[in-house]
Amino acid sequence: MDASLGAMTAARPAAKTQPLAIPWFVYAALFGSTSIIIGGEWDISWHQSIGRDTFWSPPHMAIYLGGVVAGLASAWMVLNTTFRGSAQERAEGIRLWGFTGPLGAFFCIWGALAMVTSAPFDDWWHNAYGLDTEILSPPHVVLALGIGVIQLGAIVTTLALQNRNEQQAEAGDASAIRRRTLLRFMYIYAAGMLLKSAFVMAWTYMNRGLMHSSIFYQVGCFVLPLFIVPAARASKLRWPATATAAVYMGLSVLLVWILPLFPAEPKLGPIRQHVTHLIPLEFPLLLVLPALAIDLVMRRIGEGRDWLLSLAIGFAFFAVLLAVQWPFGDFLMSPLSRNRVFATDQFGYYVSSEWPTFRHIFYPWDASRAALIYGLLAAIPLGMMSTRIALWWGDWMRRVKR
Amino acid sequence: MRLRLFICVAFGLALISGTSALAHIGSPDIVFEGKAGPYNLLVSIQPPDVVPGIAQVSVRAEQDVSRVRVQPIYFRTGSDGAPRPDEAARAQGDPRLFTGKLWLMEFGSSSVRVQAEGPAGSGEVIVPVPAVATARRGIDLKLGVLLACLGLFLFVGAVSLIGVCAREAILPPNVEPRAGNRSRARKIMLIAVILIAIVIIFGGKWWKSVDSRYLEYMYKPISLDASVRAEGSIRMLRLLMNNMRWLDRKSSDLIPDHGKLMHLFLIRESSLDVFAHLHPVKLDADTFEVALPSIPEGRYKIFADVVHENGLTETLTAEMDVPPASGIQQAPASTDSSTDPDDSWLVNGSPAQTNLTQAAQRLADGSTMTWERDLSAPLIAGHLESLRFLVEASGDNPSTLEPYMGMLGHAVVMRDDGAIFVHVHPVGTVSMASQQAFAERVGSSETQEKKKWNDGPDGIKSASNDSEQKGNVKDSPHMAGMDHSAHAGAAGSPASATSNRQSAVSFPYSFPKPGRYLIWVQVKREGRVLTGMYQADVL
Repeated sequence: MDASLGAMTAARPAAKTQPLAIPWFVYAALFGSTSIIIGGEWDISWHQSIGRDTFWSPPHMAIYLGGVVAGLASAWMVLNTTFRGSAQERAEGIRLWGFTGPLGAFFCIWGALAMVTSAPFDDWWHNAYGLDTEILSPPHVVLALGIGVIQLGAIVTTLALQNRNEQQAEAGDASAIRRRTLLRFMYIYAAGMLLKSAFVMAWTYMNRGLMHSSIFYQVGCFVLPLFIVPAARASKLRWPATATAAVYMGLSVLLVWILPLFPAEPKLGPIRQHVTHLIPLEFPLLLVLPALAIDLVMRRIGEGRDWLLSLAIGFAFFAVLLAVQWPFGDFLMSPLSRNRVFATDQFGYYVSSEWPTFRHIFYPWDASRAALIYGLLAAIPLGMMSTRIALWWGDWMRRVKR
Repeated sequence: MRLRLFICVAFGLALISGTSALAHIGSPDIVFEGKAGPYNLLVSIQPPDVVPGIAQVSVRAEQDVSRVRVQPIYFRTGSDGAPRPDEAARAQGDPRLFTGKLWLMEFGSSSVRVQAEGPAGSGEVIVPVPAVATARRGIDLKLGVLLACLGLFLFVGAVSLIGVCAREAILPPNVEPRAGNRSRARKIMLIAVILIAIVIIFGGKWWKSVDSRYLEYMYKPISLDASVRAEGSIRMLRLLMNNMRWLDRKSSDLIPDHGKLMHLFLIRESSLDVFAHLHPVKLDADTFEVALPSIPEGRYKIFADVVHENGLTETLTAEMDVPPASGIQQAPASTDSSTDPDDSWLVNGSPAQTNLTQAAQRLADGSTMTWERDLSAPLIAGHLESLRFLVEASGDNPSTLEPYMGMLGHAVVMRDDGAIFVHVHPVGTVSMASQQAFAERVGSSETQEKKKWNDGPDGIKSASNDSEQKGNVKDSPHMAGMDHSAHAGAAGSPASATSNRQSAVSFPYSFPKPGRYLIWVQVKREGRVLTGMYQADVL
């Protein structure tokens, strides 16, 4: 992410002197995506530190803001293109139910509506089964689906623009060549945001306490390539999977370091941990390394052999994830990580001292060593399957032009 | 599919199926009247029926107070694990009424610490509030239809979007989709419909599993098996507690309340003319036994109040047929060692007609008990009432009320269909043993002493068994801090404040629902337990 931000800021002076002709709607979609993901993680932190929330809590407002900005900008974009758009704008859009507009805008509208649907559903859920205590619940999944599709909208918007721009650049269009780098990084940034939210949903099975368990690698090998591989296939950067993972890691690390700067105290009981500031989520996975393996394998095997590529990536991703996260898990359980950088000594107010994570030991997920080994081996075909699906998806993304 | 799922849930679940629960049957609101330091407070709490949930707390002070704060305290984590207290808001137009919210996040035994501050200093009191889910909600029709419409729209929208993705999103601008694009899009849309349907089915199963886990945690009353057998000339009632398994509940951790492990109430069905308040003896963890007094045969409703060591209180219910006493003798009077001297019963009781201004009843010793209520103000469900009863001695005898199991009086309130039952004291609906359990966990503000965790339940039980049945409750170590005998209730008139011939006792209570209620009021005078019976219609 640092790299992408650097590139974006580097590109800005040029934008001031000579417009890059990137539609404002792209910035709105990216802002919406970012606001939602920061709001979502802030909300989880709020639940770990303060506990009590309302419909109008600040993290919720950040989520709504993202949904509203992306949803309304998209709705305006579609209405404008439908009724007042130029022939070029209409030609660059898709048609759905009589409306015309960029595909990404339709994604954002659908995502915003899913978020709206989740509100009364979630409200009923709390009335029926109690106030929020879990990330994963059916209404939260509807919300996450809405968020994910808004983020997908941001991706598709930047992607269509990137893909059209690449064609123009190849044809020698000077302005297309000038804005090429910015668009490539915008797209990877959007893809990294989606990866980040996918990880948050998978966090229940991918936390520190499970880094020595088969479930961590099974979920990791299935979920993560689904978001990294398509991003890599559709990107024109040299190291796209690594860049996507860097965006995820960069944002996560920033939140791990920034959130604790804000004072907070629990407003719910029972309180089992003394909390004085916002408790962040865990330090991110060292995902750039398994992602680098994806980049290397993709370069090595090249195009046109996607089944082979799936097998190779499935195996390589698993091997590097295991080789990196297993020892990194040991490090995160050690006293060396109990500091401001890795934040493994910060616990939500409700965390009981009986919990394995609090005791800095791994959760005994697998019943035996044999179960662990079989479980780990099962992660490999999961990764291969997920990569094959991801490559199909990536192929489509590479061709998106509207 | 989503539509079907929502409609299934909307119609499949009962709207709200409240269950009998805890220290009452159908009367969940908690009322407490007592002292917080220098202030007399009347605390009323509506506990949530779903946990995690929010309890509504209202506090009325008899004296001027400047601020009231409320703080949830769990038995397991005590005051150290409680969040900072919340300010209760002063009601508009009533400077002595404060309202607040209590967030109860975990299942189990919990309480609220109410702190009052004012010109006379500060004080606090603990009121037990069980954090237990007792209701299961379905989706109402309007919401079901709204969600189904939104769900259907999202479903159709998603499939259409996927179709567009396959049909024209990959085409360069100005290129129209060909027949091949369209046919491919249709195939992909069909696959999408199948995949989304699978996801929805999976989601439905997940929802069901959450629902069954919720049902597992939901409060499950202990079921009670009652049987009567003849033992010589005595009819012995045996009670067996079943279905103990729920959260960490045990039958072996009961603690005495007012010196008794169990308070048992028998009420003859239909005629409602027989009432008995007995105190069974514990035979083992699950079995209690008591000799039946001279009550006539018939079908009886049984209500048994017990308190767990963690302060959780429960009312167990059953029904049973009491055989006729012919051929066997009923348990003789309290001189017999097989009965508890605090057992009491009322036969051929008829409720005093409360459509008179003063509903007076003649008690067994010739004195009169009168329910003092203003008939111009009907009893309304949900309104906090102070049920005040005046005992007048016959002739010139003084009418001093004596403590009956540590209280100036006990009242039993039951709706005529038995669906609502609660045992009330002058301090309200809370159990004194439960309150004591929390006070020990929190520690008094003077000593800061807290109950040590190495107090084994066995030690408590063995001590209670020795003392509980002998009626010597004032001397029982477990009655420490429980002598509320001078507590005269909301009217603020201690027994001694009335004339020599009169004594009053009052009970704060809020009738939960409309209907015809029966109230049995028990007091003790000159060593004798006296029971008055009243009937009232609540709107």
